[in-house]
Amino acid sequence: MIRTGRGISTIFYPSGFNGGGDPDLVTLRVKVDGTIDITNASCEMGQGVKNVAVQFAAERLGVPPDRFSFDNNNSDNAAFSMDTAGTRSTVIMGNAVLAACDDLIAKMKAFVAGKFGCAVEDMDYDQGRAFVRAQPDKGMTLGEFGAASNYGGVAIMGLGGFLPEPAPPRDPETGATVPSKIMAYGSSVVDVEVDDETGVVTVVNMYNCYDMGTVINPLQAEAQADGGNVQGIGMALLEDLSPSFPESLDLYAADYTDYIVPTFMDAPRNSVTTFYENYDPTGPYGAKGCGEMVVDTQCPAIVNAIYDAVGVVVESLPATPEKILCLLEKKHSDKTKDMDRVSVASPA
Amino acid sequence: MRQYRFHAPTTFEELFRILDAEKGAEVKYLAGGTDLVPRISRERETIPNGDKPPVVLVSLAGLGLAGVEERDGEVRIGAMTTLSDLQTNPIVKAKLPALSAAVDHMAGFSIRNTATLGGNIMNASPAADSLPPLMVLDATFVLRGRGGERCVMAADFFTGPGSTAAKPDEILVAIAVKAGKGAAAFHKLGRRAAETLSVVNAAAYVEVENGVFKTARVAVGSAAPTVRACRKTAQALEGKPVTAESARTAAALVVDEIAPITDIRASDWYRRKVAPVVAARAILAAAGIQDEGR
Repeated sequence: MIRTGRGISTIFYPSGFNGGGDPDLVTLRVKVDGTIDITNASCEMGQGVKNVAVQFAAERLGVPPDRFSFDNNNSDNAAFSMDTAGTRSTVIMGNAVLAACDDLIAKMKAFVAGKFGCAVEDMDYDQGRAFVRAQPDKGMTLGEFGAASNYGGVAIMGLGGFLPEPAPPRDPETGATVPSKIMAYGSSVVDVEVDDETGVVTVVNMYNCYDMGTVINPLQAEAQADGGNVQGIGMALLEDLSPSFPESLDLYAADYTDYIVPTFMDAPRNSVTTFYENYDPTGPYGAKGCGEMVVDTQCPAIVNAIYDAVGVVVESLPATPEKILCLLEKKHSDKTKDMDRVSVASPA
Repeated sequence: MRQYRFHAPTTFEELFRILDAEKGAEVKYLAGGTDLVPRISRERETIPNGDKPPVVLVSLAGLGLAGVEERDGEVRIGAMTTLSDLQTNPIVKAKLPALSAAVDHMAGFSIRNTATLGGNIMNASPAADSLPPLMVLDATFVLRGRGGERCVMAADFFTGPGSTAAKPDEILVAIAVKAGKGAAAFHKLGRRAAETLSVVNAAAYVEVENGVFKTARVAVGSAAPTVRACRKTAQALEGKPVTAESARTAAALVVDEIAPITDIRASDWYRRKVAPVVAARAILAAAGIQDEGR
C-alpha cells in the first residue's frame, strides 16, 4: 500500500572558508574596441560563474553585459582563484570583480584627466564614460579609451582582489569563534510516497525556500536548486558505493551500472523553489552565494518524510527500499512481541 | 594480446563456412552488441588474456533477421529486431502489449535503438526484462543450425545464467508468439524509476471465464539463475475467483519457486520479500483488477 508522508529540514550555510586565507584576484583588460576581458581562474562547471562575473562587472561599470568576455581557459594565465568550492565564487570572486572594476574606473579617470589636462579629482565616471565633471562633453567612452590606451602604447588594466577578513581568535575556554561572516539560510518541505510492500520511495513534492541574499541570476539560482534536488534525492535514496559497508566490501559499485544516480524520472514530480532576498552587507550587491546549500536539505527532509509515512527512521544513507522494508519488518515483529508480552502479562 | 576477428556473413551458408574455418576460436555472435561489446572492452582493458584462443565476432546484421510479421494468428519477431522497433511496432503493441510494456522499461533510448530482442534472449541474463513476458506468452524460439530449423519453448530454453539450450552453431532467428485469448502484463522493480536493471521482474498471463481464472502462467525474473516459470503459483491461481486476494495468495507461493542471490542491487532476503509482491501486481494487472493497495 502507498503511504504518504511529509518531512521538513532547515539549514544555515557559510559562504567560503571565512576563517581567512581564501582569496581571489581579477584582471580587467580593455581592448581596442572597448570590450573587456575578465580573467579569473574560477572553474565553470555549469553553475554559471562566468555569467555572474560578467553581471557584476556590467553592473559596476554601467555597460551592457555583451561587452565582456570571461577568460578562465587557462587557469595558469588567468588571475588567481583559490578554488571553486565551498559556496564561495559569487561572494569572493564577485567582490574581487567589483574591486577590479573600481580600479579600472580610477585608472581610466587618470588617463582621461591626463588627456584633457585636469586633475583626477575633477573627473567623474558614468555608464562606461569618464569625463570632466564641470565639462561633461570632455571625456572618453570605454571604446575611445581602449583605442587611445592600446594604440598609444599605454598598458592599463583594472586589478582587484578580495580576501575575507580572518575570523577572530578562538575563545580559549569555549573554542567559540565567528567562522563565517556570511550565512545563507534555507528550508525544504518534501512530500513522499512510500510503497510499504517494496520499500520504494517516490518524491512527489519538493518545496524549497532559500535566503541566499540578493539573487544575482534567478534562472541559474533556480537551476542550481533543481540540480540540488536531484543530487539530494540521489544521496537520500539511491547512491551507494558499497551496500554492505562496513561489514563487508565484497559488493562494490565499480561503474554506473551499479552506482545508481538519479535520472529525470527520479526528480520530484513537482518542485517549487522560492527565494527570500535578505541583503547581506558584505556580499557583492548583497549576495550570499548559492552553491552547496541547495543539496543539503533533501536528505534529512526525505528521511523525515519516510518516518512520517511509515514510522521508521532510516539511520544510514541512502534510504534504500531494502533498508526501509527491513525496518518495517522489525517494527512489525517488535509490535507482535509487545502484544505477546501484553497477553502473557494480562490475567487469564 | 588476444586476437579478435570480425565477420559479417550475408547468408547462412557463409556463416557456417566461417564457423568451419574458425574451429578452435571462441565464436561470439554479435547482435546489437550492447551487452557483448562492453564485456569485450572490459576484458581487453583489464583481464590478461594473451594465452586465450582468438575471439571471432560474427555479426548477424547481414542475415535479414529483423522485422515483425503476423501470419495465421502467430506473431513472428525477427531476432535482430531492435527494442525501439518493438516499442513502436503496431503488431506488437496490439497483440503483445505485455512485451511492449517490458521493452518500455528496458534501458534508455540509445541502448534500445541498438539492442535486439534476440540479443536479450541469447544473453540469457536472469534479469532480462523481455523474458518473463515471452515465457508467459508461451513464446517459441526458432533456432537455425546446419540441419535446418528447430523450435524450443521459452520456458525450456534457459539452462543457467548466460546459458541456453542453443548449440554453439545454432542461431536464434525468430521468436514466434501465438496471441492467446487472455491478457498478459509485466511488472518491474528496479533500483530507480528508469534506465535500471531489474531487482525483480515478473509477468503474468491469465484467461478469465465467468469470474474465475481459467488458465494462468506466471514468470519471475532476477530471482534465480534463470527467469523462472512459476508453475505452482499459476496452478494455485487456476479455478480461483478473480480477486486481489486470490492473486496475492497464489503469488505468495512464488517464494518456493525462486532461488535468489545477493548482489549489489539487492539481497536474497529482499528479493524473497518482494518477488511475491511483484508477481501479484503482474497478475492483478493482467486480470485488470484495480489493486486497492496501489
